[in-house]
Amino acid sequence: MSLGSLASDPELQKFVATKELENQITAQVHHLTNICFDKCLESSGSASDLSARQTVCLQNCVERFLDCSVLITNRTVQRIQQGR
Amino acid sequence: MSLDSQKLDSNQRQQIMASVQQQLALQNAQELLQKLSDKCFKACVQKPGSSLSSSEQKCITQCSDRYMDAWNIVSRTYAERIRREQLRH
Repeated sequence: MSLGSLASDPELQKFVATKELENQITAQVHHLTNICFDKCLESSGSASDLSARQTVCLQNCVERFLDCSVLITNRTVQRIQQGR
Repeated sequence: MSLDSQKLDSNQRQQIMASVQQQLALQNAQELLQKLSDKCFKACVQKPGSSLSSSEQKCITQCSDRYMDAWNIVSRTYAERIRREQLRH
């Protein structure tokens, strides 16, 4: 088995590409959980389960963060196009 | 003998894939444990004593359970958002 055979194996390449994508998604989940835990659960001291309110807060947090990212990306592109 | 004259047999391929999978799972677990410790220590241990009190231990246990619950909810929400975005484009 050589490096060459590793690099040119198509099934392995496909596998690695899939895993890289999964890894990116997992990393983003870690990042989002970090942020949203602070926003939604910080002052909890909550006993045994997430309350319905906390669950909704987490869901909203994820969605709004992603909306925020999209907005920032679009705005940044806009500024670049305007030459600022 | 050229670099790619030898092809991987399916056994070698399986082994490599399993090894990569294992490493990624380990990496993920380490990340999770790190986050759990950071968050729950910060939330539950205000003034470090000479040992963890039973209330601190209880707080840490609950905190880590809540964090895992939160992780699962975030994971599901994010996956659904990705699916929705894909359907739109």
